[in-house]
Amino acid sequence: MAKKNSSHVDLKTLPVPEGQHLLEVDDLKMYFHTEDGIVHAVDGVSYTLDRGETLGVVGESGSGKSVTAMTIMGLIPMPPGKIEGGRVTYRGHDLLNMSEEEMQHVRGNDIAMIFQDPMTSLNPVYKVGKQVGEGLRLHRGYSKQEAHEAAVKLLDLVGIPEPERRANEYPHQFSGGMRQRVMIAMALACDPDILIADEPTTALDVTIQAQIIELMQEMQEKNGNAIVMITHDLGVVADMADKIMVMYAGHPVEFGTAEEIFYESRHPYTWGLIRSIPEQAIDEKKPLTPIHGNPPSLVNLPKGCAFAPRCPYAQERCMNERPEKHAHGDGHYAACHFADDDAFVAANAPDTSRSRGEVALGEPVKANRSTSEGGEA
Amino acid sequence: MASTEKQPLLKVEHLSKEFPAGSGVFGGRLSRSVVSAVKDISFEIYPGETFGLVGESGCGKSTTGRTIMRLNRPTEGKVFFDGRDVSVMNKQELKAMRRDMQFIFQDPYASLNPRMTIGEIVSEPMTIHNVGTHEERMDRVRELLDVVGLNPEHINRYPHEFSGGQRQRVGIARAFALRPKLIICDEPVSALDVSIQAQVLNLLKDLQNRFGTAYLFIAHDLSVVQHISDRVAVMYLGKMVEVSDWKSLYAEPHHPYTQSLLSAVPVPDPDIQRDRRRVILAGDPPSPIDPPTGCRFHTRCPIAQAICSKEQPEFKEVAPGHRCACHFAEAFPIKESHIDL
Repeated sequence: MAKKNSSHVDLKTLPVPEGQHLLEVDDLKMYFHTEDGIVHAVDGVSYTLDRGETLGVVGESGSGKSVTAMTIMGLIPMPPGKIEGGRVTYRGHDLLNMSEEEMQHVRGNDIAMIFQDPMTSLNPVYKVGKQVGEGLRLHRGYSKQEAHEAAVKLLDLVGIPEPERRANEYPHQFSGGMRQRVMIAMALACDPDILIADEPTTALDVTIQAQIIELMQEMQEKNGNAIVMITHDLGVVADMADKIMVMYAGHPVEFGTAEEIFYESRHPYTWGLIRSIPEQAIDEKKPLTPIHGNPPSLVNLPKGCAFAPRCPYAQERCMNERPEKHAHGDGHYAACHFADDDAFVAANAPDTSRSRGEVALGEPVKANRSTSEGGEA
Repeated sequence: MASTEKQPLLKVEHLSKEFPAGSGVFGGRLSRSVVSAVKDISFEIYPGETFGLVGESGCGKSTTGRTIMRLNRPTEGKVFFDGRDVSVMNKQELKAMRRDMQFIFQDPYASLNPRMTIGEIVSEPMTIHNVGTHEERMDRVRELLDVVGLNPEHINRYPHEFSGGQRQRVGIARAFALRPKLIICDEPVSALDVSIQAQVLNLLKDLQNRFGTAYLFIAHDLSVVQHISDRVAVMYLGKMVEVSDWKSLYAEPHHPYTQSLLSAVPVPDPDIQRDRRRVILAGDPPSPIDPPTGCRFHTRCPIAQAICSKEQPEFKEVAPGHRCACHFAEAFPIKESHIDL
């Protein structure tokens, strides 16, 4: 284990250069060169992130949301991966051209990641306390004893009961939700600037998912870090995210604030996603409107818009011409040829609780309980 | 749809299933501890209806489905299918019964034999039950593939040539091959992406309207269950805690567990989600090896009283067709102030 290099400066202590954002991803392209051809896993992703902000990255499997995060972290093996273009700057420093040694200081220290499956991301043969304290030993030069004490504090912080005892246990002795808490403790150990969470709650039950999301939000309030939340579930990002990027087949198809994505979306794929989710209707069930067909192969992407073969509104132009990003107001964009056509959007965008001027779902417990109100308390 | 005049297609009475627990050379058969996976549950399913069974992992919903199908033998209780008791059937009777009761599995990758063609997979139930000649079966397979939205020309392809959603369609075609009266769907859409999930849900609904099949729909996703089900039952740690038609379960949940489960589902609508009250339960579900005494939910229940750890609540009717197992479900309407943690 290398002692912390004294000449190394923690990037997170440096100021963000004037006019720049904490993290800037600009037209990032990551292709995989395989026997079957070139896989365009990430093709032109751009976004910015500031401290205290949460970005939700939404998309189906194979849409490139995880590869984007792994590329930023420098975790994609190259080859077969190859960065074909774009820039990633963190506090003004170019992450893509850093040496492996410099990246090691960034990973875990400045930018930390939580993975989907807490069972396979924890080492089964090391005690939990040791794994949580590992980053501190590596980045801060803590002694074994100091790291252990810090690990116990962190486990306590993420709500694990009896942290002294639990720190000396192995991952298999923890439940799924508890393991995910360990992962969060590990990611927070060095007080990172940015926390990238890749489907952190997908393997968990809903009541445990609610606990984990609440914990991540609490930690963000306390530390002021930025969060990148990668998920396939629009519900998860609805209250968490400030900004949302919707991805399809390696392309960002729409980007905007949570409000813009949910209430003023301008891309047919975003509409399709929203319509595919069963609405929690109280009065009447409407049939779902699924997106027809299957996502395209990333080796053989259509020439024009990647979504065109499944898009109910596709015209000839969509089959031949790749759409530009059409901006709408500050930061909101949609990569669709017709995104500027207000009449088209108004005619085809899904109803929302706002456009209907109502809130479709009430409280889990309704005020009107006349059948049971008569009983004694 | 459920109606009181109709005879139930499936009637489950006081069903319990225990598994030997513990490890060791004899797989725990020598130890006396057991996992109480399902404990004393009763319900019925009427012809043509969808009965949703919802709960978190380990609550016994899959075990219930498998025990009804007699993939497990029940420890206690009875399962009547079409008036006959499944739990005492011999091998021949079971085979005959399974013509009318089929299963759709969760994992579309693991539940199709990779060495069989789609035609062989979908026709296998007909082969087993000696339905028609080979040509007739193949015609039927083509028809079924068409019905579930697959190209009938792909009859000689292998499972690996299909995507997850398409494989699930193959599994559905197989389940419908014998036109069963009841299909047990165990998490049929949870391995699929949302856009594909919606396709499969619509397909299941279409097929039900067409063939009048009843579904036992097992899933952990409440919004999916609500969407497809006529009636819904909620399970917690092997017990059924609430059952009702879908509308009143979601509008007026009585059991505190149902309430917390409903409030934990993230709603894809920021305005609603931000204003919503959440009942976030503390801790993890306890182990079914040594379940809590009294009400099994009392260790995590926000409104638990002394009686809850001592006495098992009765599964009583709180409104017509709406049953709930909570000491306070009726006499003590759970007001919002009581569930605020």
